[in-house]
Amino acid sequence: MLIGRPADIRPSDITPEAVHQARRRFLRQGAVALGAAAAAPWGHAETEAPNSWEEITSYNNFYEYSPDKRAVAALAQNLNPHPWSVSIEGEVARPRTLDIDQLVREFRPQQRIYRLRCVEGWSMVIPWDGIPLADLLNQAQPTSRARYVKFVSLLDPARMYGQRRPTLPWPYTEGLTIAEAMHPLTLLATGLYGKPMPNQNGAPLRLVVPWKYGYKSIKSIVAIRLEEHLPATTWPQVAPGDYGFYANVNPRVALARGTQSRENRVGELRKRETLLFNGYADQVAQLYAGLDIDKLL
Amino acid sequence: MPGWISTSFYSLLVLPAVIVGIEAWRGTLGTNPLERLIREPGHWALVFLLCSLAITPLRHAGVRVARLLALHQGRRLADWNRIVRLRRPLGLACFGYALTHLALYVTLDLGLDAGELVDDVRHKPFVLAGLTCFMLLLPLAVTSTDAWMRRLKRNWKRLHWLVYPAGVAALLHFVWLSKPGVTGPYGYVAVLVALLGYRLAVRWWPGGAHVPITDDEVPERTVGER
Repeated sequence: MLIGRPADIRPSDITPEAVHQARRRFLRQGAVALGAAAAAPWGHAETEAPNSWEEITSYNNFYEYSPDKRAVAALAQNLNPHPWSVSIEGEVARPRTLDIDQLVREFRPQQRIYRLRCVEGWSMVIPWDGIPLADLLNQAQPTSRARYVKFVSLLDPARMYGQRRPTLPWPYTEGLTIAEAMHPLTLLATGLYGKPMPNQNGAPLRLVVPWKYGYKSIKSIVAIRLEEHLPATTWPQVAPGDYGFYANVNPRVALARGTQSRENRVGELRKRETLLFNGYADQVAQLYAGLDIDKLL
Repeated sequence: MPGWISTSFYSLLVLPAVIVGIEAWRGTLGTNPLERLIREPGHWALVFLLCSLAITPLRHAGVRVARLLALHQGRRLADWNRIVRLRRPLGLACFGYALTHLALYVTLDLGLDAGELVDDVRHKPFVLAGLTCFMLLLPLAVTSTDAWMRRLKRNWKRLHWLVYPAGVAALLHFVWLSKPGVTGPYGYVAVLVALLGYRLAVRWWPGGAHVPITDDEVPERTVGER
């Protein structure tokens, strides 16, 4: 069941935030009244108050601009994400390159309110607009050898100042198993709060994998490549003890830089407990059936 | 020292707390208030710790400048030793901010949960370094009074040597808590290395110890006016 599947959200079809908020409130009250909240498929994030637009767009981890979360918004204004194309390539029967506007027209973005948990220990609730990654992959028809999906960010030091320093090996890359990529929670986000994706949040197209630490949710994607072998991705190359490939949110497992048992929901003055799979265990635990998730970094 | 100078100096020491307090009151702490509330006092504790370590090199520098300019004005113009009186308030300000930092961490971050503290100490080296630093600063703050100076005599100076390992622990805390790619802490590391390196240089280089300075605290304090 999808809550509030809007007809069509195109970049040209922007809902004013006040209207949007009123609609969210209405939906939330409606869901509670119907007793449907408990049955909401997206881990109940729908019932939590989302962080404000200001919070979401002023506190960004985006090393392509700066490691300083508060500096990213200003530095990212230099990115003009139009035109923008993304290629679906590798182990697929129908590789193609899509323009971002074409993508939005073809696959109608839906609204999804997800929790985002950063490995640094903070979290937010964010109303994304996006398309299920599975829709795009199914159209490209992965071959039998496609076992992993690799994502690549834009490499352009002229527009992304942070790339002029060797903080990370550029371009930023991420990866998922094919099962994770095809999971209905996995979203290719094109906007938030009904507006096109702000530059600092990964314009024009980013991944959102809500049960994994935030660094998996790669921003400003230019290529999606299906591969046979586990791809080498950015953070595990830089700091293998701190960052793994799977990176499922797990309060039981301390990463090298610290425990992950609690989190700072941005805006709250007390920390709260971190939930296994960031609260999406009911939806995703079966992806790891038979595996020891405490050992799966 | 004229009254207005020490008054404005003390005001300077509490200014960061006042600013953050006002911002907290007005709700303008920024996107992540919890993070800001915990980090600001920690930052100012470090700043004032480094300032207190800068007093001795500044005294030496003052004396050298005075000699270079052949200023033989007795102890009036050339007497930079007076700035040693800034060191106690700086040290106490450092401790005050460190205590606030620790208290906010224990209440807001840990939620007064001892089990979480044990977990943090086990899994986060920077927490261990921070606690070590606080434990080193604690006896220094307690023995900062004139009465303790007289009681401990020469041992007072030996005890207060602990400020050096405290400085090292503070910076380990800062460096270890910072994520990859963040270079801010290394500026502070450079300052500490310079301040500690100066002391080694004075001690080991031939002629370095000949800077004429009056002895440290004890005589100065017992003579002290004010």
